[in-house]
Amino acid sequence: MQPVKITIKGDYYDCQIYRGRLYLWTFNGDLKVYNWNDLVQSFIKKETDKIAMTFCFLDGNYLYKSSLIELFKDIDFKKLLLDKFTQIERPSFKLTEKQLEKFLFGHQETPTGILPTDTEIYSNKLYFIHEGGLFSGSAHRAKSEKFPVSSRPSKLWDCNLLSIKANKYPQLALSGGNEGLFELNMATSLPSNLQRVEQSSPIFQISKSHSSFSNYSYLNIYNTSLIENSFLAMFKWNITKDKNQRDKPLRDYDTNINDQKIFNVKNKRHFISWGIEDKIYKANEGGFEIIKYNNYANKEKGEETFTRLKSVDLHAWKGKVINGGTAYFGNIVESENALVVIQSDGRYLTIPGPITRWRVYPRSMNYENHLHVILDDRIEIYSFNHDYFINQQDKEIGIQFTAEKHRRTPRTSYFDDTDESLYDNGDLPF
Amino acid sequence: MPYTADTEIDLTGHAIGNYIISSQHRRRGNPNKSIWTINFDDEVGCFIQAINGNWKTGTEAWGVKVIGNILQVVGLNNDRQELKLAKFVDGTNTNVWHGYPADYMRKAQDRPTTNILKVWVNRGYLTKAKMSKIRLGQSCNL
Repeated sequence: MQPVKITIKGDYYDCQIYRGRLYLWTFNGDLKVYNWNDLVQSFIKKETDKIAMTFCFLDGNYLYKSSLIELFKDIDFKKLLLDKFTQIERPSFKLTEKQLEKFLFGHQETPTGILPTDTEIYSNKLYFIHEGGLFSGSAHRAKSEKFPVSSRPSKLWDCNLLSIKANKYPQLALSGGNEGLFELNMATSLPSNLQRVEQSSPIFQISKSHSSFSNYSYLNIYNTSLIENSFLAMFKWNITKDKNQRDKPLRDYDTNINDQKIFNVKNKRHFISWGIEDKIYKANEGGFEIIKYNNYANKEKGEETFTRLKSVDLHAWKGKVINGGTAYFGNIVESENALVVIQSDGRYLTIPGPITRWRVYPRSMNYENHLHVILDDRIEIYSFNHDYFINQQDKEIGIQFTAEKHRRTPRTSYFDDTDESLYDNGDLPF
Repeated sequence: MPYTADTEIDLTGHAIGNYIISSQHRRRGNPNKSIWTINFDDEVGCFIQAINGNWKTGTEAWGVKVIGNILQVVGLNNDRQELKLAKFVDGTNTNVWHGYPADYMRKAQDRPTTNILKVWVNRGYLTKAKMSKIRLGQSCNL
């Protein structure tokens, strides 16, 4: 099964998708926000394509419902839906910049006037970094507002960070290169054993070791360094009492486990490793290795915290692995010459570079099947739809989907996302 | 002009500001610092180009050595890896500068600012993809 792709021409530098809006930063310094739902629906030319296009680009979470997974065990139902996806694999969904204009929700100069080094949208706020520091301002604003995001964001910290990554809980991991790994923790209870480095914002230093980028793995943060050993910064719940003697759990720092130990390697040559949720990956000479991480391993039952799953080869022409990430639908490996998606069904997709930026949204509620790739003259938005039909417990590539993720009841997550925007509009195509 | 290390060089007529070639950033200098592999003339030339190009933010400036739009190696880090970007600092805010090869992957402060990288992209010295990689502190073939 091939991914479905929408291509939008233009000179872009960064992108985000959030609650029915596509955010595009142009290289000349504008931030343009588009109505994503209308854009996708403009491509639906036949009634019979509506369901597949909606699952592809608007509601990628829906098919993970356990009731539907049961349905897909019936081969006839499964075939019917697969045929629907196959029908929209081949058409070319393309927009020029001019055609894109009719979906414009709003535009403005990028806040602070400097192109962001990295961005996240989280709880209706845009967080971004550049050499001036870490900033946040309101996003997903009403149409009546002058600008789609705040033009006067608050400066949270003046550290010159390399990258940021939001958790599904109110935390943002902050990678500061040689300054170390930090976290902006907006939870109501704060860690008791980490040093707060900024008085005006709840920013804590987790490690002084080099941090290029980081991502969350359950309670923990996997810190990737492109020049030193990477490590898993582990946290634990520390149950304390509040002033009314009620239990108050604090997410306290526990320890670091470096990737040499996780992968049991002695070789001192540096290779990138990265991790998110239940899997950790480490590049090697010809590809990468995968470790299953069991945060709840019961040692008495013989369960291991880290279990080696498999090795994956990459073709040599793609060059050295320089960056990596993971979504439900598979692993995304950036090599010197290409971006490679190793899908959870074992297939490969190669996107030749140069790649300006790529993003996946595994913590969003409706776009976890998306891969956004910014190339020199366009953005390509891929939708992967094979993972719904895979046994999640057995899969070796990609994040394991767990049932709690798809509940449509109110959650504590900040990514209770496009559900409301979809239904508020009343314009779901079916 | 024959230059001497650790001596203030008056650049009147070439650029606004004086420059000191630091012996700390030369072979047999400080082993913990990056070192220039270009000669004194090229180091000073790189600085003059940076100042005259206004590739400057406050007391920091950024330079490259370009031949035919191809970035040239200007130095090595202390792991002997090649470096192609240069950083200049007016440490005392007196318009007296010194510089060193910038190790943008190891040191967050060695990454040129966004607007200067944009200028280099527009001049064809870098691609947009490489600019993004530099800002993210990621490896790229400059």
